[in-house]
Amino acid sequence: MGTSTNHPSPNKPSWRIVNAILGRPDVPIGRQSAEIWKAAAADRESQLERDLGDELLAQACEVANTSATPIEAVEVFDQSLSSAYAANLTLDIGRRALARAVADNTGATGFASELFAEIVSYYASRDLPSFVGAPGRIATARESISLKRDLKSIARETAINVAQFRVDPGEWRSYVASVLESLQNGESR
Amino acid sequence: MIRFSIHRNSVENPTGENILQVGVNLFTGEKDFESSFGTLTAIESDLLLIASSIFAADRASKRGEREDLCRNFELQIPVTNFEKLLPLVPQIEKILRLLSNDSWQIRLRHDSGTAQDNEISDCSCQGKTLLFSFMSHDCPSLEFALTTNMGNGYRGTSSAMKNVPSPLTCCAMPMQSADRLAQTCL
Repeated sequence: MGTSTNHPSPNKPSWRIVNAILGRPDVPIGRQSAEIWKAAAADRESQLERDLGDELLAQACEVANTSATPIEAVEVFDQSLSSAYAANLTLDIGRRALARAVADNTGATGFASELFAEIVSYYASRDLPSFVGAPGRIATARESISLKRDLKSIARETAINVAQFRVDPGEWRSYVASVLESLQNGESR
Repeated sequence: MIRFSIHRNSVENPTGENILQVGVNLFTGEKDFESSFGTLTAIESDLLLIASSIFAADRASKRGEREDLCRNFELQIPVTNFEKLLPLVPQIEKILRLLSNDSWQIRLRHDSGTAQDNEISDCSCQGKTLLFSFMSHDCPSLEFALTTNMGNGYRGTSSAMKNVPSPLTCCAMPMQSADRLAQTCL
């Protein structure tokens, strides 16, 4: 990436709520997940939904269905990014999700679930290290990893179960919107 | 999208985009190169301009924070050897994307001058690319790495690199030019 700097979440009301409860053992994991998704969805004028609904990610679903190896899948995906002159963090995360989905042979559904899991992992990772060991927060790095694993599980379950999955770009956008809404409402099924 | 327009000569009607003008706010290292290696060929001049333009655009554009980490560049660069360099643009863009994780759109435009007859080295034939970068004009922390995918090129770091043209940074060039550089410096 060319940088090793970690920028915490912006000092906005929605993220302040996340920072107030993230890593607190007395706050249910489902609530923590929902607040992260609410903050992320509201931030940057709802850019997250547009980023996730990008046609290139819809195309990645087809790549996940048809590629034989992760290397092949990533090469095809990178070629599509190059052709579109597109670069952003969500697409980077999408590349990683694609490689995992193809490696696990889980196809488009696996790609979508990994995409949302990686996204929530990114948001949690921005602030969670600051709270490890603080009073009333998780005490160890091991617990931090466990928390992120739980957050990713919720995202995966929601992505798989909430919406009827379609690869078509038009359907992909509505699918993304449905999953985001469910994640913000704390619905996993 | 961050747009840069590169010019060898003065710009009569500058537009809103970022202007990089050779000798004003863009230094290609041609004079240093010539003092070390003699007359600069047209294609070497083109390559130096492309490399220095990329470097300048990169350094002039701060990354955003959090989700806005990636940058999207569009560079318009004048070159004399337009026909020869144009087919290489996809490779250059691909390498830059790989190195920086940004999107680079290189738009070459034909510049007046005499194009060269010599062919450009084909990477698939020679398999050698020179990558080098260093931190300051005084080269106190100069890093020099010559890599080859054929396994018989230069490799490693040298502390004897004191004659390298200083403004050159982070570029790739054909092996003939790399040889000229390396023979003088190593």
